[in-house]
Amino acid sequence: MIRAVLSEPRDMVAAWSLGVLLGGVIAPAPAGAVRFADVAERWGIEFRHRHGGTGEFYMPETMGSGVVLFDFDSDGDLDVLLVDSGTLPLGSGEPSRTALYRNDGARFVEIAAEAGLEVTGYGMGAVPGDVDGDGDLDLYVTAYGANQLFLNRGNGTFTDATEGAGVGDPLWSSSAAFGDFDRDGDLDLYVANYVDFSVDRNETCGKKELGLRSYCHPNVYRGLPDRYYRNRGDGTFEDASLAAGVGVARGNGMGVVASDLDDDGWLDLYVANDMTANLLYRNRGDGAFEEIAMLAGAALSDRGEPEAGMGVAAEDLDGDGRIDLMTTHLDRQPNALYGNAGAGLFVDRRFSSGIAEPSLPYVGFGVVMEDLDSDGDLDIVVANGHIIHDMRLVTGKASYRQPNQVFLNRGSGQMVENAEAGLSRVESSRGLAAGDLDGDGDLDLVVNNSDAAAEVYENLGPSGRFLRFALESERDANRFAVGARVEVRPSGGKRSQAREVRAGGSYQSASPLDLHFGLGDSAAATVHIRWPEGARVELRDVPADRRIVLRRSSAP
Amino acid sequence: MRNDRDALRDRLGRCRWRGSRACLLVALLAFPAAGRQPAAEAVAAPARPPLAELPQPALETQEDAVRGQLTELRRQLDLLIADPSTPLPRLAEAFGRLGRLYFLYDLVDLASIALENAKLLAPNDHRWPYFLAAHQTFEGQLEEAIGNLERVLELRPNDLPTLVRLGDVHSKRGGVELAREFYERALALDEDVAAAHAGLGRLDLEAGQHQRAVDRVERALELQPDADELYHTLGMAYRGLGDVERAREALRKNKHGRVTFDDPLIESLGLENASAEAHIQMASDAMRRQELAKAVPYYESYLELKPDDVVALNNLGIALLGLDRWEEGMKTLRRAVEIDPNHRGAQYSLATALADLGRYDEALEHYRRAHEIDPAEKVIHADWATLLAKVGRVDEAIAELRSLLEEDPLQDYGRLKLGSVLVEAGRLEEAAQELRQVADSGGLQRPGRGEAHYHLGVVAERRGDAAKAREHYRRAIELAPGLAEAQRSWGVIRAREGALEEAAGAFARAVELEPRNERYRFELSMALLLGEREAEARKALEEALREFPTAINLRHLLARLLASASDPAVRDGERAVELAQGVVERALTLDHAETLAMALAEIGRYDEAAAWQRRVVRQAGDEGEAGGPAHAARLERLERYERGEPARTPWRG
Repeated sequence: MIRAVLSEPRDMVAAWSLGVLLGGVIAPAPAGAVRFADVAERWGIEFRHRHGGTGEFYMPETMGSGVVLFDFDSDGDLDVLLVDSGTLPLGSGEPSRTALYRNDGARFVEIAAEAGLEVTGYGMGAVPGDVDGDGDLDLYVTAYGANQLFLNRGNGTFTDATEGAGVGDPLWSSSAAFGDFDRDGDLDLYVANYVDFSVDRNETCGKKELGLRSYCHPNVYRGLPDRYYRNRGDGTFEDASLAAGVGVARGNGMGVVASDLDDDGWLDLYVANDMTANLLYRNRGDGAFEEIAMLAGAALSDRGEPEAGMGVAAEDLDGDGRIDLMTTHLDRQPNALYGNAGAGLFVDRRFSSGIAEPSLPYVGFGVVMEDLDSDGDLDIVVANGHIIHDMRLVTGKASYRQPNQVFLNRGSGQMVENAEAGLSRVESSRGLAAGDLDGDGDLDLVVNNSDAAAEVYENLGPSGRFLRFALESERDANRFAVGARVEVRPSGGKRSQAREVRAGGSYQSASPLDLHFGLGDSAAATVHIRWPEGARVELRDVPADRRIVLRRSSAP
Repeated sequence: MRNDRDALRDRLGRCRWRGSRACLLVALLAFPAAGRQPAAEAVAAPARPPLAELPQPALETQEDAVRGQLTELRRQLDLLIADPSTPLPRLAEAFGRLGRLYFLYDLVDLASIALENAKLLAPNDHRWPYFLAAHQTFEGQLEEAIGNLERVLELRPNDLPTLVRLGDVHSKRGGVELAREFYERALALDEDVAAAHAGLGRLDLEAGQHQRAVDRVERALELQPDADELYHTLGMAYRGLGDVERAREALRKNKHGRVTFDDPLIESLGLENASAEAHIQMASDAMRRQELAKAVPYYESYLELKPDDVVALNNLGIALLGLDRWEEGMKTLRRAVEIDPNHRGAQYSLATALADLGRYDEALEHYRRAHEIDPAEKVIHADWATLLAKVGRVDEAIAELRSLLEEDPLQDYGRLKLGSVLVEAGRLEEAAQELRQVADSGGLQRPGRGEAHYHLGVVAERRGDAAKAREHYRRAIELAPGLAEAQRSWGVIRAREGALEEAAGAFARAVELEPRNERYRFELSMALLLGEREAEARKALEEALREFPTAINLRHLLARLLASASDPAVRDGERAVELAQGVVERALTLDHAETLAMALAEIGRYDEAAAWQRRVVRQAGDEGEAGGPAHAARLERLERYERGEPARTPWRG
């Protein structure tokens, strides 16, 4: 049985953002194009990531970190987790000071310590998910050093349950994703691992003859196998990597996203690897995956070469109902868009989509596809930043700090860069997530920067009408219905938009589990929902400008 | 009075690497070439247009040679700038020369300024906008690149490299129609430009025109077979056509060889590169892409500058061996070992090469030395032990491998080698135990696990468990498509199951991997024959005979095919007779004699055919064959010859 719970219309919660508008410095933008204003300080998110570099050039120093937008205290608004790295070797200096900012309506308040979030590894990323099915969001943190699972006690605090749960992967992990891959009603976990660097085996790289040391290329080390943890349903996980066929391939794993790419009802996995072929694991539906990236056309560049895959996003960018894939790369290596052509085939559309050329000068990390202007199609944001500080060691025009980019969708997946979007801070960015932090109906952005202050951008519009869905299931332990697919057709519109509830993506990051649909001028829409276990529901004439909680009760 | 020649000699005398190409270039570049003084020098110089200031480069990260080269050129340029009478073309040349070197050494801002100045000073010289465009393409400034390329086309409307570059740049900007137009213009001038066919193929692929993409890319590959990156596009196009098997096969062939076009201006830059680091970098990149032929000259030019670099010598040796240039490869590796007898890699490479050549005693000695240098390196230890087994010292080998595994129980490479040695020693149970561990673990890359499956397949076959063998071989080729023996074993399995097309594919892959393997070539030909693909079988046999001109089984098979093919275009009685006579002279067997008879009948020499066939029938009868179906068939053929008819019975092995 489905119940739709309608929350307040947008107008009633917009007052707070109005205050920001009055005081914000707004960059000039093309008429009609979405604009953002940096509000980190004003909103109280004054986080500064530290990589702790001491001149030893430990490779993880270049990598972190991620950002998570999630409602950890179940009060209906989004809170912000910003992962901090710390110092290497572990224990030699300041530990990770990963921050959790609780959204108190008017400001964000940092409460990581009182919430019991103590990251012991050298922090990389994080992903939220209700692993124990108790209705609140737990948190999995990836790191150089053992990863950690923090269970949400339901009272605004967490407890470190790593040991008992068996998910403390000691390998150097970058990103992770939750999903009910075996469809047994609880969340399983995929962890993308990078390379077998260790502080005890820190190779010397750079221009040795000139005495210029630098961070090493990933191929100096060996790629690591990723991990697939199957949830046993009792709060513990088993390492099912080998049994599921995902633990054998070694790659330099960076970003991962779980998505039903072939629309067969089973969540697949796509992993962006750094200078090794990307991996696409098709879920066979029998507990195992089949790696098909090469034959699917999503493993390599258009020239058949592995690329420096960093972040990853999976959405229906061209509105054809199929989930496309995007990966971000090094400079001079255009970001990729693999258009899903159906029948397990992806077509490299990086050039024709318009995302390639503007990406050439930048090293891309975080990436999100969201409808920033709520006009009915998905836009793109990319977080950029170089890895090497010493530009004498870098060829070309590259700079360490690089601007982040917004691409607007002209419809049908044709993208155009909006350089006037107002992403005004220029840092070396890594993690990126988008969510409606101020509850005004449009999507704001949070960027975590390497060894610098984080960026928080409020979306100033203009914005079309919208619908937002929060899915809740009482049927099983996958309470937030990760993997559910929602299609929205605006009234009078010809095209549907398809999106999935997703835990993890971008780079070491996670955007909210809510699904945001822009409706343009439409006042209502028809909504199709496919729940993770396959049940389908249709809602007609759903009025616009609402966040709707769709609850699936335990009754059959 | 000293002339330029004297000055050049002086300069060469001061050069650190006398006699080297880089040294010569540095010296030459510092001087305007005699006879190339612009005519404009004789007349009053026109007013100099306002030029952008060219800052001094920061050269601290450049090598000495590069620093010297750039400093000298800059000094020359500054002299010309300071002299108001310098003719504009000469000044343009100096800016352009420096600009392209800045481009070469990635001093991008300076390259831009210098080349823009050159363009301004000599607006009708196509080189400067061309270099600017190349530089801007590299930097992702595609719109500016297009502007400059269009300027080149104004000056040289039919410049092929410019047309191809315009196709590429428009393609990168998503300008599909414009890209197509420029590629087609290039092909209208020269229909053999692989890069233009490739560009069009990529556009067709993205447009979902899969068959057109296949045709385009196949044409490009025909024109430039080493551009194997195109197999990726080809594979995707086959995939789009729904032909998964062909897609898989094409994708396997992608070794990242780039499609190229004649680009004299850019190619000239490579020669001017004075950076040893650049040469070694290019060599390493080529090695990483497994482009051995491209790596070799880079290593050679690097070694001209640094002749005693053992790492480079070792890599060059490996590349030469990979190209079957054994003599040079061995010489290079021996030189590496001579320079540094304690270099583990060089000792190991030399040992491996000697083992491949069958010079086992020498190989063992170098393996032993490499192991001594680095006893902790398990791969060396394992390979050494494996060779011990090969020379019959099986117990010693097993003991070494077991000791290696005692030290490091997770050493899957050592375990794999132990498994393979145990298989050869016939200790199948122990072998299977070790190999299963390797096959199931994540410790080795896919090829390693594939090899374990291959050996497990051999174990299963020897135990008579055909189903298990089949499964292991299937996994082996999936995980290790580059393992020729696994491909061959899978081919045999599929041939037995009657899947001849797939079998032929597997044998063809084995041949591709090991072209010098006579057995693979024979089996490929047999699979094609049994699959009634006579023309392909003939082609495969002709190729095989070029490789193994005296191989009697291959000659016999071809003779029989030429005498008995159902396709008249494949049959060739005269050649069949010639081949069969040669075979019979070397080894007179019943089958060989029958083939000769068949060939003779094919060219109408029925009496001789009948005479040979009678000998066959008589001999077969003496050997107790009489009364059986084979004997009846021989008699039938005899009757045909006696009636003046050919008998075309294909060889079935």
